[in-house]
Amino acid sequence: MLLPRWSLRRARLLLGGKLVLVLGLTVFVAMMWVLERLIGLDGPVALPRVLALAMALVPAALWLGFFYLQDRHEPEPKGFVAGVFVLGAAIAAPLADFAVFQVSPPLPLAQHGLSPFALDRLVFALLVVGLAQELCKYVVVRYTIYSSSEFDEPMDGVVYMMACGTGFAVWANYHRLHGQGHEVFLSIGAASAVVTTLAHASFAGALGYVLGRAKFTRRTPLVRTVLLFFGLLGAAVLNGTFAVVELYVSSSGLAQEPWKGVGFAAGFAMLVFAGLMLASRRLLADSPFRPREPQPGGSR
Amino acid sequence: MSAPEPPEDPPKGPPGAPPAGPDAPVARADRPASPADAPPTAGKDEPDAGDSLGFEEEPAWAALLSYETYEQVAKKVLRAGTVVAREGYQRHDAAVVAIAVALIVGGAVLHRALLRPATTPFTAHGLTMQRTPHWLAPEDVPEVTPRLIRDAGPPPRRGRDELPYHVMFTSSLDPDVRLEIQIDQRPAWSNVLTGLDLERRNRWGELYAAEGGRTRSIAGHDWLRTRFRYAYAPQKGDDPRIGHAVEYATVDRERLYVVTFHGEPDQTDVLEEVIAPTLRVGARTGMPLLPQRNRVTQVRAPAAVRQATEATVMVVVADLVDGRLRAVGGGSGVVVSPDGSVLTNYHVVHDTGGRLHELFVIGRHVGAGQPPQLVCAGRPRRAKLQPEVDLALLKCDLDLDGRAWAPSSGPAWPTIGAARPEEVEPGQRLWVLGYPDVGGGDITLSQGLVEGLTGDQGELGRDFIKTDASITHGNSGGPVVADDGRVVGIATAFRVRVTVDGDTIETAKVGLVRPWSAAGDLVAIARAGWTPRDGMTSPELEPTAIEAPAEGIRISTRVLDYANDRPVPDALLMVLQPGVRASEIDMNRLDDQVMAWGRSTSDGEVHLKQPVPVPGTYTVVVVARGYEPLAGDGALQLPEDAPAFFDPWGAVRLNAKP
Repeated sequence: MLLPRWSLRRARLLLGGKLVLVLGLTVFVAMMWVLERLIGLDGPVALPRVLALAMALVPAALWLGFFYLQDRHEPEPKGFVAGVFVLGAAIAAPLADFAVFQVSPPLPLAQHGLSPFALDRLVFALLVVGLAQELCKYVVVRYTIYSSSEFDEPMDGVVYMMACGTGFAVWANYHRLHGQGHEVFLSIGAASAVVTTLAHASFAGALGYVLGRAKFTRRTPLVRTVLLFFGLLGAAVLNGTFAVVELYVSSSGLAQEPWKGVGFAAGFAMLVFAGLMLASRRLLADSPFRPREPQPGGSR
Repeated sequence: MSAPEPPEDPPKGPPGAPPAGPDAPVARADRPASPADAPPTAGKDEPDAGDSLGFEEEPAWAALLSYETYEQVAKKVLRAGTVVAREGYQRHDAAVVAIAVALIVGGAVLHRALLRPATTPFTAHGLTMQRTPHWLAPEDVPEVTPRLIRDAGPPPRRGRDELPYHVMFTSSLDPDVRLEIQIDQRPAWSNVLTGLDLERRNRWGELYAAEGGRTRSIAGHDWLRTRFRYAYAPQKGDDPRIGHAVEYATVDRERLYVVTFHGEPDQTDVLEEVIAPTLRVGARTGMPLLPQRNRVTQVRAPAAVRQATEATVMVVVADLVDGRLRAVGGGSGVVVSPDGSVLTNYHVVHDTGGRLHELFVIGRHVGAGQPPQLVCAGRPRRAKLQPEVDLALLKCDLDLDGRAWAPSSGPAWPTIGAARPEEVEPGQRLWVLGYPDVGGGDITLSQGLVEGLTGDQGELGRDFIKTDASITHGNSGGPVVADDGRVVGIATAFRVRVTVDGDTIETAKVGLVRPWSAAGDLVAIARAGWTPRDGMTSPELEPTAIEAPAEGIRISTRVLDYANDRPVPDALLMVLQPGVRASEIDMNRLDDQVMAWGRSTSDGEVHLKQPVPVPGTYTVVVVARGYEPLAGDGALQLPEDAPAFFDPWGAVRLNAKP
């Protein structure tokens, strides 16, 4: 085991941890693409349970490491971050699915609007699915780690919510990759798992940004509540918009163009993520744990 | 509410921290206020983010799997919960969850409202309704070749505006979801329930199963709602699948309207919810569509009478109308032999012009509250007919798909015993069992008293038993039984007399029951055994063209009543061909099966017309009106030295029918 550890450390030293992880994600998708070519798969396949779970878990684990590294100044306890990740996968996501199914069971003969931007699709994507998913992520973080003493700087909101979103994506991706009669292209499935994980984590991260600000604001409780609510609404709008536009991009009439969808989703998720990172810079700059420039005189 | 504000004083940030603005992080009181208070762990001060990954020291997966982690998390959660309860400011945050949940529910309601199938008006031949728009253009539904009449020609072509109007709309979302509209002339038979049941059975085949009908009033008009399922193959060569449908049917003065929703049950539910309330037809009808439910359980009848319901069947007659099989009438019947012979009225199986109907279909009682289940069919032209006493003996020889089928191939059909004619007295209570065609539905029981006897045309005579029990259309052919469940006769007709006396109009109705004794010949045939054959409608029980053996001995004997040794006149004694067993006897094939026969004279003497070869062992059958048929395998054993004129038994004694 010496060699891999050594190699990892070497690679990390050479390239930086985040780059290694991003490379890992790329390699993961490339491997699936190569595997697809190697075994001559020219159509979608029904993935076995284990493979689907692995394909959902691998990008999530890599992304989780990546997000974890964002909190530079006072890294959170790994156990807590992992715990919130598990809560996201085991509580938030199933709860969201259950809630959506309960309030809006599948309607037979539903006259869905043909356009992806039809009012019914928008309402469903934004107000029902988007809001329910983000609410479940929010509830999981807000009523566990948020109140703990480990949540001690605004940036923690981003870290924990992203961990929760990553966990959420494991469930979502697993069900996207393996379900009753589901068949997926191996490469597209892997790419979409990577992208969806980033997307879910980014939306949650956006909410986490607000969550972190809200916890440490000195304004009135009402303002904090309003802040939280609009944070939630914002995340839901991002989530819903993502779903609607991805459908718009990936479908052209009756034909499906999944790569287009993945490409768009990647762009959208990266945009949100970049915005989030930009915003986080301020949080990091304001972090009470930020190492300070040595004061004149050489003492801290 | 004591909403604890965060500490008023800005926290003591680390030395050199930027001045705390309103949104500056506030360290909590229950932990060291800053890293300065709690010395950071080794390496914390290093800005090398790479090191903080620390896979080597504490792998994330190890933390995931460690019990302590969960214990810690659980403790933290518990502590957090306590904090939630303690700290008032968090109550405000609960409002976020509450408002979000309200938004989600509101969004779901709005979504559902947006998805409710839109509708567009539809009008055809007096039917108006709202139908789903955006579906594929309606297609004419081709008429189904009647399964029961294989030799039927193709149905005539019809114009679009002519009746029957029969179209199908198919959903653009799911080709298995369809809306079918059928408008036709009002059926001749008022039993809409069973008539439609027969048509569906004919159309969908043997895997069709209905859940019965109930009426639903829509805008003051009664519709008969029936849910059913069937097997079908969407395209030729496809695997068959189960289809579900809900049918709404009604009649007005001229037309029959049938609107059917096809699809999975949840899909038909949606269609039903959206479309059914909009169904309208021009004229309102007073015709009761309500199936008569549970009449048997409502009437307190003796147990023996209830048992007689098992032997009571519905007889539906059907004809080809424009190449389509339509139920045109019906009556009742009574099972008279365990192998499925049914006695009914002759007038049930022929139309007003005296022409026999194409088909009869037998429906059997399956349970209280349920319409009879159609089980088998046959051709009236193969029945045994006795027009002079208005009786007919039917036996199925087809299943409902038109394949050859014998009712004896299943379990024995329950029969009922007969009362002796002399036991029927005026004032005695009678029960009429049957399926009056008003509304169809369950078997109906009515009771009344024997009022007396009457002749065919109202003169003195013993042709009918008069009763005040309700007998109406559809009761014809059904059994009339006494309290002990034994059959007294066949409900045959009713007479209505209207007298106008000044200002008073008086109506009198009397039911007429054909006494059971009139059915003697037909019952004898049924009991002896027969197979329906084209053209063999005569109840005459005599071989006509026997190929007599060239030589043999002459048999003669006497036929007597077992109870009192009185001679039995007109009994038919038959010696069957070697190898023919009693159970195989077919009264329609006597010429093939009988070797020698004779009829008893008024003093009971029989002389067989044909010689019987010796030596040999033969099956003997004796049939007489009012007596149980006697059949004995190997009952006649003739030694080689038997005399030329021989009485093997001395006398044959018959049991009167119970």
